[in-house]
Parts: sequence; structure tokens; C-alpha cells
Amino acid sequence: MTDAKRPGRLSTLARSTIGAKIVMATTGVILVGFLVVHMLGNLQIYLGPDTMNHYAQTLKGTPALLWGVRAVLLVGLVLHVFAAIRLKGLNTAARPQEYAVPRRYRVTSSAARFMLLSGAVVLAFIVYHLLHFTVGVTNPADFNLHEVLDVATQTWVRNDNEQLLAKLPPEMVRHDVYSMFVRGFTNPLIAGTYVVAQLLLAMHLSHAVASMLHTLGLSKGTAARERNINIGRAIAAVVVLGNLSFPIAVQAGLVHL
Amino acid sequence: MDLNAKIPDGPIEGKWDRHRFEMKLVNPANKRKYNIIVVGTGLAGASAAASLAELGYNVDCFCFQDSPRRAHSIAAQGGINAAKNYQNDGDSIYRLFYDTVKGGDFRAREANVYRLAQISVNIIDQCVAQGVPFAREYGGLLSNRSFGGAQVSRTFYARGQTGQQLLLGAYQALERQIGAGKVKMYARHEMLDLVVIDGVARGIITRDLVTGETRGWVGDAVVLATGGYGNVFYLSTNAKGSNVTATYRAYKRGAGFGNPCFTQIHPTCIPVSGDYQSKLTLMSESLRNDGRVWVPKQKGDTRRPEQIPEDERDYYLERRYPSFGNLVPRDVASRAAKAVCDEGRGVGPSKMAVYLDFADAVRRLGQNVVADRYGNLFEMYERITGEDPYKTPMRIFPAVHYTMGGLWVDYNLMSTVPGLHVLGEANFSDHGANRLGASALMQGLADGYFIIPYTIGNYLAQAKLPKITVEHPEVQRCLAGVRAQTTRLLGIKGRTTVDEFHRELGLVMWDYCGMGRTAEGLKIALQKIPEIRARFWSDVAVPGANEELNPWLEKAGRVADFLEFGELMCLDALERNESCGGHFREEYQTPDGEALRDDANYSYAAVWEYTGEGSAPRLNKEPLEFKNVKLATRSYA
Amino acid sequence: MSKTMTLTLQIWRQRSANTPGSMQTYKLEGVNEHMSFLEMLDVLNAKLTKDGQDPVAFDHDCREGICGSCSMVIDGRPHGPRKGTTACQLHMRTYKDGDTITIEPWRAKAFPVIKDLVVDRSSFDRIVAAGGFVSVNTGVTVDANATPIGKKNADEAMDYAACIGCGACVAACPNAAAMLFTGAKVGHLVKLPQGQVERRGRVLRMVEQMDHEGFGACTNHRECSEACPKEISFDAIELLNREYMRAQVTND
Repeated sequence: MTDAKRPGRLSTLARSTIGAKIVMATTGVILVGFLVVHMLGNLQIYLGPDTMNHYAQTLKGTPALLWGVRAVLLVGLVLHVFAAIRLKGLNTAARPQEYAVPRRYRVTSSAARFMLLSGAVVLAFIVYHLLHFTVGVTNPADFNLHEVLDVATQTWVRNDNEQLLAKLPPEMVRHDVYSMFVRGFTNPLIAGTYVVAQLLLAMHLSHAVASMLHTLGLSKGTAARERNINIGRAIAAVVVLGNLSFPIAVQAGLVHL
Repeated sequence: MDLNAKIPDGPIEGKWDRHRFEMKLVNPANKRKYNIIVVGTGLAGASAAASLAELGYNVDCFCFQDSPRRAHSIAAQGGINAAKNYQNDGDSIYRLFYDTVKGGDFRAREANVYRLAQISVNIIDQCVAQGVPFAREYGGLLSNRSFGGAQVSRTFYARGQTGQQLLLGAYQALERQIGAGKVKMYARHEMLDLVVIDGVARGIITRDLVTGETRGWVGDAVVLATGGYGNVFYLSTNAKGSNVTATYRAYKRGAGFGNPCFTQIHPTCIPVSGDYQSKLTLMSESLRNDGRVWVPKQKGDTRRPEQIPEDERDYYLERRYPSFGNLVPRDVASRAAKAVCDEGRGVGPSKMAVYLDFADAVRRLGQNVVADRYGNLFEMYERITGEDPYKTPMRIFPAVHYTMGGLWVDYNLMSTVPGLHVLGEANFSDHGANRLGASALMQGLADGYFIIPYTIGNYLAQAKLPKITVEHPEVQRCLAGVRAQTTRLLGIKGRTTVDEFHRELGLVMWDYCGMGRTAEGLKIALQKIPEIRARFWSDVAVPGANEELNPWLEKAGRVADFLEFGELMCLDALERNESCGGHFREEYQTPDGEALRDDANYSYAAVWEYTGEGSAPRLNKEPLEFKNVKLATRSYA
Repeated sequence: MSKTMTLTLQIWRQRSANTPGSMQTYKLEGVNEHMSFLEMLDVLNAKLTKDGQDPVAFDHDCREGICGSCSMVIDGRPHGPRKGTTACQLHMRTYKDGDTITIEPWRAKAFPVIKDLVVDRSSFDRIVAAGGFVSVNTGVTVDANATPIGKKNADEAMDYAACIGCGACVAACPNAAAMLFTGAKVGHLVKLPQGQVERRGRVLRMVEQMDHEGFGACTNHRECSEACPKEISFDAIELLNREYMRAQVTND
């Protein structure tokens, strides 16, 4: 190799198809990691309002961590979406004329073939989910629920008196996430939306997890690859089953106010 | 015709070293002023083009395939010989030289063969350095196997894909030079004429197979590495595109054609299954290391092979040739198979096949070891025939495989036309009347990597080459000739397809100029071929136009040349009143059916000279002297 | 006795790169079960020639599964239904009387159609020219046995080197990616000591060329290795990814 033709580092990475894949995979790892933690955290709904609301309070009580994670997730998500769109563009351009006869695939799945579609739905869902539960735009009545610390009994009591809430010191007020959660999923339309979105997330993850392991070169050999494919499906199943349980449990009356 | 082979003086061991010292050199700064045309990108062509470019020459390289990597060298399965003596089994350069001269039935030039054996050692070093993944032992050293015609293990191999791996090595070296801009590669270009100016080869005419554009190219030397002409038989193990056109058209421009009748029939091919058959598939000769060849003792035995008890089988190679057994040279094994089939003891639906049985090997080594050695070949057999060779013996029959004949070249690999160099299977030089297994790859790479880079410099350093361009009238005349032939072929608009003519020619060649030849038969062929040729030129159907990808036009041009060339082969076979190697004249055989040479009268290379259309070619002779190997009757018993 | 069959063939016909093509239907009788797939096309072409029609152009050469010339998508699968088998080694005994068979060329931007089933695969050559080699000139004098190479590495190198460059991986890939091809060459050379020196630059340049040719990006469908007639493992792509990442953080 002549020195003159020595390719640079980041510039080649950013331009290349493999670079885009690596971005997909590494941001995927972050996003999947978050999904697992998010689902596990929410399982606390089954331990009752106090545990759940305490959990939420703790998260909000460490803003550096919270905003740090949010920033990483946002950057990860943006890069993930950007790389996905770029890859889709490259891959569509790579075959300007489709086959006249539909191909018979041997091993790939619908999940793998419709990643962009499932991803787009999941992205739309994420936006909705944030508006619903994080920002409180879609259902402000469910969102603006609070608990106040009863100093005498050291217990938290629901109180929605806005004037009172405004006067109290912050450590004596906390968001009633439990109620928000239950009231949100009591609406069958919202519960249904969440179920559908979770099914598409399941589809997305069933390919995504194995795919990122392959891209990162962690599936050496057929046996390891099969194993990683199964691990991927298992992670997808665990995350989505956990998530699905929430609206279903509320609808079934297992979790209630 | 000047047939001075220019063999250097001195003892055979020192000829090449001495010659290398005595040859003129081209100053490194001057090399870039020379333009060399290389036609063909098989082992010989790719290795030559790459090596010449590495030295600094500008190279224009051509192949008719869509990529240089597809040249037919890729299909060689078994291996490549080299006198490394890694096995400590008594091999040496001298022994490889001796085996090759003897295997060629004393019809090769000693000095060339000795040089080939010397260079064999360097080839392996070169290929390993390129990353050719040869088979290795657990200790990490190179593995060897034995091959027909040798009693030592000197064959290096890469599974059953040795040719592929060696070619990819040469191809990668070539691509490196293409990337560096030293080689300009023209794929899907077919050479259709040689341009000779003032008696010196100065260029070629090509047709761009995609656009139909015919174009002249000029250079300071032309290197043909265009392979063999086995497809004159229509059915052969050659690729469908392999053809004689480049060498035959060079012959018509004055290059002598050496020993055209020397063709090799390979003993282990899958038998013909029907008249739609388009080609024959070879099963590597390495199979004979562990497979045993047999036919039923009884004529017309229709039992399944498993039902035939051991004592009713005739392991005829082991019986007739106890010391070499199943590993006799190809010509001997092929003729023996033909003999038992002619006796009516052939097997399979066509009765034109013998068994190659692995039952003993599976018992002795276990199925895993057999699968490790031959797995891909067994799979290939199963795909083609639908039968499982682990369970039932393979059926094999000889098929045309290689042509030892080719353009005559001197010790410097230059033809009788100055400036025209010929490498690999396209030349006639090293294998005499029969090539030993695993020697074709060796010769192709020896010529391309290690001989032509020296000898072409020697030529260029001494040649007086006036500057010419493609506007030269001779280039234009050749171009016009090529275009006229294309127009003529397209204008016939007959009713018979090119393949039908080719098949008809092939049958004539196989019947009269195949494994067994007689004067009577050859005379019949010499009547039939011109008659087929006449019909071809009045009734061939060539669809399509020139200005497009037109495989039928390409094929028609090639078959037109085969129809002339077949006649030359028969003429050569008729003229050679002896049997030697692959050339078996039935009139000349020993009482037990072995080839009977006539050294007193035929110890020469027959070199044919074109004398014009409609005029009989002239025979010239290069006498062969054997100073180092004693002329003897080959015996593998 | 061998069986014969009558087939309906639907074949992509396209006169040249710049004219649009379409599927055309042909009926072919008397197809022998022992014919190879290409011999069946030979029979069709002989018939078309005799009928004064334009025969079907397709690439082929060795017809024994090693040259990598043949390149047709048969019934939606590159090289047809049999695993580990090139179209030229596919035999008609796979089909039965009355079957309809569709035949199309490889489809990818980097493999433009030249005519009918013939495509231009020179993009593969350019990927190799970008770095798929060991930079040694002719004339090496190091003995071949001077550097022992473990059998496992040698065997793995051979597994990757078995690629015939046919392009079925690209044809099979939903994204028309060439990463199995590129990865196989990178894998072949990286498994050998001779390939170490240029390890970093090779993968960077080959990937750059691959992208430049307009191939797509792998999204791990694994259709390529399933379609590969030489059954090159999907490991080639994982290896390519690892090598590429490694090249980002190392020097040679």
C-alpha cells in the first residue's frame, strides 16, 4: 500500500455502509438496554402505588442521572433513526429495478424485512408515549396527579389542590405515577394503542437484537449465531411481555386505583 | 520455417541459470516505454501480465470471459507438482524432470522440461507468499498427495480446487496491477487476429463482445496464453468458451503449430448421459489414489455392482500394471478403459463406463477420511448423476481433457513469428505426447511467473521495433478481414445451428482422431471435415447482429476455426506413424496393447506451417535429442 | 429409461442495457430429466434459433460449478432451489412434468443487465483490485514451509477462498449488499500470516470500493450465505465487520 492512499479513520467510518451498520448496532444496544431497564422498573406497578411513586420520585430526585440518560437516549435514538433512513436509502438505491417474480427467501423473517416499518411505528409510539406519560400533553387530566407527604403519619396522600401543591416544599410533593398509569390504561383505546405498538416493538426487537450482535461481530460460527438469534428473540419476548402486561393488567382489573 | 529452439549450451542442470545470465536486460527506466499485449488470463496469462507489470512494462490484457478470474484454469481440481521433496520420499528436480519426459513418452524437449522441474520449486514459494491456502498437516507444514505417473508424493493441493486457488492468486496479483494502473484489463474482448508487420508480431484485433466493436491494438510484443483446443471434440472437460481461435489465427499468420494431434484423454470423467450433453465433467485424478477401477469379468453383466462378488470383478489396472496399479498415467488408464468397454464389459446404461469403487477406501479409512479428501468431488458426482458414491461405485469414462499440442515455441517461449510468445496450454512445449497429472498448473505458472518475464526482456532489448499506431495499413487490413468474416457469418442465415455443426465435427474427431486412431479412419475424417465445413459456410444459422452481445456469433467464429483446425489435427495424426502417449495409432501397438513408439523415424516435434487457403499445410520437423533421459519403452507394469 | 417433461418457462428478455425488458413465456417439450439446467436452455435456444427468434443470452463457461459465470435467479432463488449448487450443476430431475419455471438475471445497481440474463459483474473485480491481494511481487525466495500455518487457520482461509465470485449473494440479499463476497476475501487473507501486513488498509479500501460501486448494506438477513453455491458462511460478514472496526482503532 502506498502511503498516499492510506484511508483516514472517522471520515471513512461515517461514509461507509459498515459505519452506518455499526451506528445502528451500538445505538441499538443502548436503546435495548434502556427498554429492559424501563420494563423492569415499571414492573414495580405490581408492588403498589407507594413503591411505584417512590421509584418515580427517586428518578426525578437525581436530575443529573435522569437528564444524562435522557440525553444519551435522545442522541442514540436520533442516530439510530438517521442511520436507518440512510441505510434504507442506500439499500433501495442498490436495487433500482426489483425482481419481476417475488423472491423466495430461505431464512430471513418478515421482522427483518420490515424493520423500517416497525421502527417507524415504534418511533411514532415513542413520541406519543412521551407526550402521554412524560410531558403530559395528550391527557393532562391523568398527568397532573400528585401525592403530598402527610407529616404526621409519614405516608403519601393523594392531593390535587394546585394552590396547596404550589406552596409546599418540593420534597413533600411527588407525582402520582401509579394513578396516572392506571387511569391511562383504563381507556381501552389507549390500552389498545399500547398493545399494538408493543407487538410492533416485539417484531422490531426480534430481529434487532440478533442483528446488532451479528453486526458487532459477536456471533462467530453458526452455533453462536443461532444462539444469538434465540437470545435476541428471548430479550424481545421478555421486554414486550412485560410491557404488554401493564395495559392488560389494568384492563383486567388486576391493577386498579 | 526456422525451428531453432535456441537451447543454451552446457549441461542440462545449468542451462537455465546460464541463459538467465546471458540474456539481455531492459533497463528499469526503459521498461515503461514498452507495451505488451497479453491475451488470456488463466494461470499463464494472469501470472505473466501481473509479473510483467510488476517489472514496469505497460500491459494490455484481454480475456473473453466477463472477468479474468473465470479463465478455465479455475476448474483444475487435483493439484500442482513441485520437486520440493518435503515428504523425504526420494523426489528431486531430476526425478520430476525424468518422470515428465517419460510420462510424455519422449516427445518433449529435454531442456524445457528440466527448467520446468527446476522452477516448480519457486512456484510453490510464490503461491504461498500470495496467500494460496494449500492443504496443510496438523504441524502447519504443507501437505502432499500422489498423482498418476509418479511414485513419489509431490503434488500440492487446495482441497479439490487447486486450479481455482492458484488462479485466484494470479488474478489477485493481476488485479493489484490493474488497480495500480500498470495493466489495462479488457474483459469480454475476444482476440480475432494477430497483426504481423514486417514479419514481427505487433498487435491483435479484438471484438468487444458487448458492443460488437472490432478494434486494433498495437504493442511491442504479443503474449498468447489462450489455452487448449480440446473443444474441437465438442464434448470435453473444457469450459464451453475454450477455443482454438487465437492460436489458430496466429498459425494462419505464420506461427508454426506443434504436434496438434497430441491430445489428452482423461480417464476419470462422468460418462455421457444423452445427446443433449453439452460438456463432460472431470472427476479429479486424485480419486485414483483411493478408488479402485474395475469392470465385471463377464461380458454383458447386467447385475448391480454390489451384486457382483469380488472374484467376478476384474481390477484390470491393478492386474495389468501391478507396480503403478490404479495410478498409471492418464493415457494408459484411458486406453485400458476403452479396451474393456470395447470387449463388451462396460457398465452403466450406455455400457461405455467402468467403475471407480471406494468401498475398500471407506472400509480402510472410514467415511470421514474419505469425505475429507474427496467430499466435494463426491457431492459433485451426486449432483450430476443423482447417485451416491459412498454407497455405489462411481461410473467413469475417459474424456478429452487437455491438448499437449499448441503453437511451437523455442526455449524462450517465442513462436516462429518474432515477438509472438506463447504460454501455458497454448504452446506445445513441455508435456510431449502425454501430460502427467498436476503438471498443467505447474507449466502455466512457470511460463507466466518465471520464464516470460526474463525472455521477453531479452527479446525487447534486441528487437528493432519501429513506432506504429493502429492506423498502420496492416492493422486496418486485419480489421477489415475480421469484419468481413463477421458479416459473412451473419449473412448466411441458414437452418442449422452452430452447435449442430460443432457436435457433428466433434463426433468425427472422437471417432477417428480420439483415443484410438487408424490411417484409414483419419482419411475418412479428412474427407468428412471439409464437407461439414462447406455445409457450415452455406447453412449455419447465426441469429442476432454484430452490434450487441451475441454469444452465437462468438461461437460461430470459434467453430469455423475448429472446422479448419480439426483437419490439421487429423493430418498430423495421420503423418505420425507410431503410437506415443495420447496419440495411439492402432496399427502400432505391442502384442499386449501398449503404445509402440518409433524413435528412429518420429523422434521429432511436428510443426505445421500455414501455406494459404486451400493449400496443404507444410510439415517442418524439430528433431528431439535425448541426452539425459535414456529413450526407453515406457513401462508401468 | 429417463423421463422427459414439458415445461413452461418465463424468462426475462432485455435486448440491451438501455432498453426495458419484460418476462416472456415459452413452452418447451421433451426435456430430459438428466439434462442440466443450462442444457435445457441450450435446447430452448436451438428451438428459438430454428424458429427465427432471438435466443436467450446467459453467461456460462465451465459448467461444472467453479468458474462462477452462471448467474440466474430461478423461481425467485439465485441458482435455483438446490442448496450449494450453481445453476449449471442443477439438473432437471429436480423438476416435474408441467412445471412453470421463472428465470431472471441478478438484479443490483452494481450488476447492470447487459442483455437478457447477462449482467456486468466487473464491480467485483474492482473490489479485489482495491485491496484483495497480498502485495508480493513475483520472485519470492522464502521457502514455502518457512512459515508453518496451523491446519485450522489454513482450512478456514480455504473456506473463505472457495468463493467463485458469481454474485448470488448480492442477488439474494434483499439489500443487494456485497458483504459476503467482500468478507470472504478479507477472511481468506486475514486467516493467513501473509495477509497480516496489509490487514488494516485492505479492509478499509475494499469496503470503500464496495460502497462506491453502489452495493447495499447488510442488515443481517443471512439470505446471502444460504444462496451461496459454495456455502460460504455468514461468518464472513461478521468477520468483515470486526475487521472494519479493528481497522478503525489500529495501525499497520
